[in-house]
Amino acid sequence: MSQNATELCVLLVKDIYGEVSSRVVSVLLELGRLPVSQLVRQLKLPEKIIKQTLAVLIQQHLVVHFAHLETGQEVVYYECEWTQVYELLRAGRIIRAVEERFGNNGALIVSNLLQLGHARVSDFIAAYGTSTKKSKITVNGKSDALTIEDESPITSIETLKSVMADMLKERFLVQVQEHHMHIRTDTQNTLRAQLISQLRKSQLSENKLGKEVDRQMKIKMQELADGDISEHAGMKRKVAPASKPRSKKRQKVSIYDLIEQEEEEEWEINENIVLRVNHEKFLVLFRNAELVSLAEGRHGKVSSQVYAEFLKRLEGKYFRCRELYSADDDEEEDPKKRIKLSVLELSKTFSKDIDLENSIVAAPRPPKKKARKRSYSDDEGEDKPRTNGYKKKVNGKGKCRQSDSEDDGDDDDDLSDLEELNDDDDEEGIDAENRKKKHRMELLKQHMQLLAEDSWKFVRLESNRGLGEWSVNYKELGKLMRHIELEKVVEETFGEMGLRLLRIIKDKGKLEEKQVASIALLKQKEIRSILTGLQENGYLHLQEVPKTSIPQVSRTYFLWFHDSDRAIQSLITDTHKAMSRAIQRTNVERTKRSSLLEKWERTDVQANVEEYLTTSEKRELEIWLSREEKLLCQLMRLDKTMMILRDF
Amino acid sequence: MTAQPSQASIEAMSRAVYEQCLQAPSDYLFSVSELQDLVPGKNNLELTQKVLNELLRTRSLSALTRGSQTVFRAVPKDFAEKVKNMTADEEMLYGYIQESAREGIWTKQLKMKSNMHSTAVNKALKGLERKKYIKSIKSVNHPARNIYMLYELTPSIEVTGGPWFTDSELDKEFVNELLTAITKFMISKSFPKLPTRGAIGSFPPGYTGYPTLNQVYLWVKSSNLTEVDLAEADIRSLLDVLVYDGKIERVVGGTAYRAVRRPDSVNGFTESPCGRCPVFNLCKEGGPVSASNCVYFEDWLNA
Ligand code: SF4
Repeated sequence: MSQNATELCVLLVKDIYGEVSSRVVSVLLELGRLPVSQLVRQLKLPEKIIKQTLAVLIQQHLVVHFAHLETGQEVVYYECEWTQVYELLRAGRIIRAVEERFGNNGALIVSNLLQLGHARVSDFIAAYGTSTKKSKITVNGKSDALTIEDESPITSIETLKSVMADMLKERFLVQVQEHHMHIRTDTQNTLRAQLISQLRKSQLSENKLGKEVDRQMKIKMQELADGDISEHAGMKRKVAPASKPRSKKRQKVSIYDLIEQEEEEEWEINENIVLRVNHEKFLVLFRNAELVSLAEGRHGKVSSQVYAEFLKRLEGKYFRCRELYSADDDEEEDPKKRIKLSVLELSKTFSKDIDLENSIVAAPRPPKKKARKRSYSDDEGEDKPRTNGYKKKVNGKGKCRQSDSEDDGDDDDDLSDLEELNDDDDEEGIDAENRKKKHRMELLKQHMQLLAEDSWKFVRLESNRGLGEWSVNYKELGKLMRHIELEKVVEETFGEMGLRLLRIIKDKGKLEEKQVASIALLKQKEIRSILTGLQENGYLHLQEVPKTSIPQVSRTYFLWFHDSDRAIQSLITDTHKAMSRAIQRTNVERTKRSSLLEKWERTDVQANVEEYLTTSEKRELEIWLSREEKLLCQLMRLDKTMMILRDF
Repeated sequence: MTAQPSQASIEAMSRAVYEQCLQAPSDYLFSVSELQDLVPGKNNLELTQKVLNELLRTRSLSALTRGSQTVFRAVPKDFAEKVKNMTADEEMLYGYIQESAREGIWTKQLKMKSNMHSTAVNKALKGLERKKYIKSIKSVNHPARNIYMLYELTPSIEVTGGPWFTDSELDKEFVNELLTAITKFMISKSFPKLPTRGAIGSFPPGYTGYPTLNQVYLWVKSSNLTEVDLAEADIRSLLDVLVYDGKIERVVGGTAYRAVRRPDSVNGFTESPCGRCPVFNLCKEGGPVSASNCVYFEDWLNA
């Protein structure tokens, strides 16, 4: 963890939890895990205060602990979870995301949980029942006001509980487990020790034992990270079903009805469980949103909407952006393990409100026969014969359509396509509705293909089942997104030339200045300073290869190369710093106006701002408010960059 | 009858031999016996000797050694003409310069090879240059060197750096003009207009009508963009640069290109004052520059 990240975390804690908390966090981040006695010595504060502070920080999951036996005595160590501290920044973002999905109730639940750290469902509900006062989540002094307004329609406890259950099911909330509160390395060490002593009995060789322990560790840690993933985790059967079972007659008619009824009515959230916000799941959401906006920039609105719907369908299968224990590589190596979805599947839930027409333009008449022959078989094996009759037909149509449009060279091929589809079944059996559906599916497929064809590879074709099955290579896309952020910074700082040089060196590996210049079609003199600048920022590195055994400057190759990880790391560090500065500046601006702000916050003044504040005070207040907003907004934009660089 | 052949007949004979020698490829090396065959009078060693001497005197032949043997090369006519106007020093340097062909030769190497004093070399070079027998050229790779080449030759690509170089300086404007023009061309071929909305749409997947290298090449040729004779490989270099600029990408299995829309180059970092701060590395709380006193933030807040 870099100095800059520490600085940022301390600032965040100070803003929200005050001076003492920030000092505790600061010491823990600088010195690592410490027992209370050490904290007392370092901070020169009474033990009682430190313990109180720790309790608050633990409740917020900002500090974790673990008890060790030392000379027969139990000593509790405390460690600061800096990534959790960083998450404080994202409260507003998370609440907004929940609001979009689960409405006001969801936002209410999440904002309260964020404020409380974690809470037992029953306590939460009890508090809600009685609470009429405002609840606020404060980020950096700015209130992302989320209030239980008196006049807002009172939500029933039942609704609240069902929203909570939905959010639990989709993993936006998770049950707090014991290990959440513990220091991860300690949890890991304890587990390992247990495993070793268990496996010792099996009399494996030392080498095999080690491997077996590693293997089982991975599984165990994964289980811990995932928590209870059974169907009704955190739920319980309703004691007395509200409605009587339906009449026998109805059951016979529609079995689906029955199943749905059962699901809905017999389970509800277990009020004894303790919930917290699951930050890593939100990152999955944010990552998808970022990918969609990338796709929109490249292929326009419609393709990006298709992409959004597609990613949303996969979302449930992804618990977090980066798996720590199960190696992502497994998934990459074994296509069977990949998470995929077919166009057919996608079309079932695809929002009818999205207009798919008028985004893909028919290809103009090809100049040569050859071009036509190649069209539509760009991707490997796409044209392999299908086995399933139905799919074959639809796909065959796709092909027809392609050549049709090429022949017509105009755009009412959509219509002719519709007619075509009808040709086979002229009976009234397949009606307009059905044709429309098929047509839509074909368009969906085309958008998926466009996304796959892009050199950014937004999706990847897995098989031809169901009009094409697709998956998302998040690992590669993550790398891509990070590189794009780096490119943006390079372009802004070093101009187009800088971008060109970076990309050449990244592509070619190691190059001499002369070679770089000749590929870039730039003057050697001109690029020298840019290369050096890129090096100073940590985006490029220089390797010296002596031509002779005795190193000598004149007889040395100087090779430029780009190390992605180092470059990104350097950018992360700088971004942390920029974030700290934005917060610091906010604080400076606030302090400058502290007396005015104190006055403004007085309740009597709030009640009658017009009368109590002078014109110049009002103007100053306006300046402050707009500056504060600008700074906060900037901080959030920096966080977005940070998400891409560090979390996706 | 062993009458001594007259000087006139020797000269006539040597001219005839010289003409025959010129029929051979210009770099052909004649052995003594081969020349002997050319001299009339059937292996008359004495006569051959005389003819050879005459040829060497008039510099129609030049003698070289191959292994232990002496061999001869026919000197082209125009050169033979030139040589008559040269001093011995000039002639020697001219030979080396000629050998260097389209690469040219550096003065330092001339000095080494000829073993002449540098003032003599310079004097001879001046003389040759004045007579328009040689010229000085610039090399891209060694811009500081004095390099000479025969007057009538054009420097090779390695020396000039290809079509992008004017006087061994990369012609940035020329390159950029071409890049801009090609980008425009690619854009026009990559994004179809939607008939209904007038907006920009996409070609269908699998579309193969994107321009290939050859098509771009032909377009540049027919476009009057430049007088310079560009090869297909030169156009490829330009397209490569555009790929690196992120303006186009390779499609259809790498055989064609299409323009792509670039993401906006701003992000949270680049648009924040610290992201473009000249004293970023110095900045720290309590240091000479910090967030509380820095002008960049003030300007940014006021912007
Ligand atoms: S001097 Fe100002 S702009 Fe520069 S890094 Fe520091 S706070 Fe940011």
